[in-house]
Amino acid sequence: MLEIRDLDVAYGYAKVLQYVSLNLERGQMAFLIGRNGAGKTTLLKTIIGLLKPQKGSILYQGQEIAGLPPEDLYSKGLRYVAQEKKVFGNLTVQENIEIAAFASREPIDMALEKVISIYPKLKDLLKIKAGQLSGGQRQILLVGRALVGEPRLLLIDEPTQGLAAIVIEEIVNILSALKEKISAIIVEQNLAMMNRLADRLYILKEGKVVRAITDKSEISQTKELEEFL
Amino acid sequence: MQNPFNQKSSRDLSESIGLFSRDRGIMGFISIAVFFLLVTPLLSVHRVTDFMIFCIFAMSFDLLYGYMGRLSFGHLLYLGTGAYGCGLFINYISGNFFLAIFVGIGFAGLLAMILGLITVRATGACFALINLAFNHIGFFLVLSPLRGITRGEDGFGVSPSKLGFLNLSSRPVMFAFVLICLLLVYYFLRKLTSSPYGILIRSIKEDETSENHSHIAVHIHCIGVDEIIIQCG
Repeated sequence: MLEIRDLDVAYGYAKVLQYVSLNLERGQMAFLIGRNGAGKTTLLKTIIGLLKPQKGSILYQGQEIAGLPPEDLYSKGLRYVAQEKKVFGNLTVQENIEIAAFASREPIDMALEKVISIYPKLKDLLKIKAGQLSGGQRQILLVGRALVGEPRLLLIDEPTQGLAAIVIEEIVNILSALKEKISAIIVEQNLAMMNRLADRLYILKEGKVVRAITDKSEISQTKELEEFL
Repeated sequence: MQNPFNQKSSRDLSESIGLFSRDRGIMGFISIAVFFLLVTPLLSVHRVTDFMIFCIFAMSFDLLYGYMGRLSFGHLLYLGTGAYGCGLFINYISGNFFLAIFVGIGFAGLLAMILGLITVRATGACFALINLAFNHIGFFLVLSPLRGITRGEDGFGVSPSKLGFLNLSSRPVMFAFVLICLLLVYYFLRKLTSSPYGILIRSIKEDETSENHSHIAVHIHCIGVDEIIIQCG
């Protein structure tokens, strides 16, 4: 599904990622963990086309996609949910979803149905301005918006950051329902979520992958993960 | 799959909003028409016609600045290009007014498409000032190198040919024609701004950063909006 080989990414002269390699099979969820500044968000942004790599390749379904613009990758089924939880605050929840439906040329009714099915409470919030939603509701809206169209690979950056435990549980349930249907790369600091969802784990430190665990059963047994958070 | 929507309640809500919006649209239509019909006897047909033309321009500019959030100091360039295209066509090629309008729109649209490739890459004050710069270039061209055909600061009048019963040289007929154009532009822009494309335009104003718009080529839609504005104006 996705194969990254020896990726180098820099901001000007500052190298942020070096020789990063990653593999993801169809229907799998890979988690990226690491401390702040390790390069996790940079890696997701590079995959989705917001940053251009200096070296290396990104193969998606056998095609080289490194350097392609984000809108081209969107049409290929890649979706990115950024860390900042930014919605279009002055537009209603429904209008936020309509934009995604317009971009992916999906009928609005179908798009709304898809989003409501993953989080039925959104049905009562459709006419409310998205800026009035709580942090958890925004995150769910963003994940729902990413599911509009025909997504094949989700890139989600810290979906549970700053959220209450009950909301985290809802998000984990949503992502759990997507397992094996959609591939995903998730940046996360929540070990419980990772133990429940991850098929692969990549640990980043100072821009490099220091450990890659591709056996699901090994992930929950790895005791030293906390030192990388 | 069971539709999780409570279809009846959402349909009722949608219908109410649609009716309300439609009523407001009809009120807007009537208000515009009544206002100009009442005001004209108090002023002059010629002045009110000019005013209506600039109302069309203002509505189209609202699409750029009010809805998309892009301030431009140079949009009159396109109004002028369209007007000169139309006028020069009538003077030198054919007196057919409707053909002339299409030529004017075509000229302005082509110019917008070419300049848009440059200007929409800029944002904020840069966008405003780049458009101002192009506006000044257009102004200079009209005043100096092209003075032979544009007549510089003096400008020129045109006399379009009669088309059947339509005599657009007559001020009342021109007034009626411009009023119809105003109402059509109002209707078109209302439809556009309430469409998914209109929501997209509003989202660009909200947040133009690429993360939130990674699914669309924002600059292409900015050019698209430029084109729509030109055609309206």
